[in-house]
Amino acid sequence: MRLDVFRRELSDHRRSAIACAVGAALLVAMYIFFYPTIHSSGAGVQQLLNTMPKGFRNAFIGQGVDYLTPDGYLGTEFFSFLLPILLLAMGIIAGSRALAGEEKAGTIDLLLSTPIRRRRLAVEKIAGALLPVVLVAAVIWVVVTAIGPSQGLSVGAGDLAAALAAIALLGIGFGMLAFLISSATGSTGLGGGVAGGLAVAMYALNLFGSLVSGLTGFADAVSPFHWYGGSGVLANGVPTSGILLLIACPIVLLAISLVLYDRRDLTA
Amino acid sequence: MRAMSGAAAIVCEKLTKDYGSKRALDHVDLELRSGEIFGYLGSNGAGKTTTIRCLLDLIQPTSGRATVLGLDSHDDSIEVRRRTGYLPGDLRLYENLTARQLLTYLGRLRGGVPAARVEELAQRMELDLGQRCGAMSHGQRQKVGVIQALMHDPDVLILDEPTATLDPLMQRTVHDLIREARDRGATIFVSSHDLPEVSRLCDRAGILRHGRLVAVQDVNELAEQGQHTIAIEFREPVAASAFEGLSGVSQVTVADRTLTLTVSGDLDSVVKTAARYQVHSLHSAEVDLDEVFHDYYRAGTDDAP
Repeated sequence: MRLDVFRRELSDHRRSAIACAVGAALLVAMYIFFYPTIHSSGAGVQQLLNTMPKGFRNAFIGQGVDYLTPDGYLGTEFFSFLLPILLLAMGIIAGSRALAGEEKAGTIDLLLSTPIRRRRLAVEKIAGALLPVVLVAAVIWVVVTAIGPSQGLSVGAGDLAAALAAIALLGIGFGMLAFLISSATGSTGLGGGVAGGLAVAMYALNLFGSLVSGLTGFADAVSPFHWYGGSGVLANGVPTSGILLLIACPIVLLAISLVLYDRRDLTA
Repeated sequence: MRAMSGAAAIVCEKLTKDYGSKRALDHVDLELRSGEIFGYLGSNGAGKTTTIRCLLDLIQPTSGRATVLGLDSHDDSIEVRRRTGYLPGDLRLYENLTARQLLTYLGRLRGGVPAARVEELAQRMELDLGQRCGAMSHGQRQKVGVIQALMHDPDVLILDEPTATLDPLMQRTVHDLIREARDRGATIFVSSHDLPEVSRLCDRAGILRHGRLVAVQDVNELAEQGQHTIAIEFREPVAASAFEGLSGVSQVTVADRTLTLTVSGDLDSVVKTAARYQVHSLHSAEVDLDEVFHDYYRAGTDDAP
């Protein structure tokens, strides 16, 4: 019984993972090839940005970040919205289906009639389901590092890895929340819905937090979209407290999932 | 291991399961002897599947307990499942896998099962292991289910309605496989709503009704409870009186040239009487099990808890 469930789960995700990786690679490459054009029309772009309210600029570009630098450009285009949402969606979909999908499909009776502990089943399942999130993040790192310099987009390989790891953890965290709710209730829809809804709410909170000064402290503390460093992540690095929270949350959520799943009556 | 023949292989002690305010299982006390084929009879919703899912720790009883091979169904669940083969009543397979991939996967989760054993079972069940489960008919899926339950030669077999979707020929093959498992020492727990099947296959049977075990007895005794509704179409007019008064016969009616009646037990006297006339066609249907239980329940109230 050497990680058979993990490998099965990973294999079930291989098509969607490859599709996500290819899609992300193409999208990222497209933005990279845009960079020289944006950079050469720098003055005009800067002028346009200056007309934006300061709060908006900080929200989308990052505090004190120059949009036209490689860090500013990639941070704004990739890390404020696009990549976090992609990894988050992957995490939530895979997390909500990992165990509850077997219940929905009615295959869980067959699977759990074998001598495998429920906790082990759960860990192998969620690991296999969420590994593609990490793989897609890795593919993005490779694409940016490989073709970025040719277009004048050189970012620190370590900074980029840290930033991608942070948003991968964001995706894993929300995926783990979806997993917890789904595996504890047997409902894929409930877990996916709650985690997805919470992600939208947290994104909005983070956005409003940077626009409304009275809300900033609360939003920064609560919203995972602030934890990873937002669009300024490449320029300013991942905040230490943020990365700790992003690591701690999935672990706590997993621990709760295991306790709840272990005692549940599985739906027939 | 089989030395404890005669000892209890499965025991339920006051096994009770509530779903909200609905009581699905009500203090079921049950004991299966090692090496027997035990039929668990009941209509749909009687609690058969609930009992079985408790034994496999897929659900936990509200109160009471169960043991399999002396092992607690919850605390020692891993060992119970290692030594048990299980065919779910509502069997679902991984649609994207071939039968061989599925059986290999389940086999690996059991620590490995000889491929030769799987091939042998597939041959006897006439199943193409290369076929994708998603493209299989009900009967073929059921064959995959039977193979995965038997492939590791378990000490206990728990089969929830094993032959419900199989044609008669395949039913016989499955019955043969079950008997072979018994002959090598396994204990078999078969749920069914089909009285004739249970009487053909099992040594003893328990009758479950609305979550309560109302009777446990040898199948020979139980078979006498079996009832058939028979319709005979004659080529000539026939009088009801010729059949009334035959042993076990009731509810005789004649409409046109078709005679309808209900027989409990042997059909011998009815067939012999019918043979005196020109018979055009004969239909026999098992009386709904629930009705049999109802009769049984009324007749055997002394046995009921």
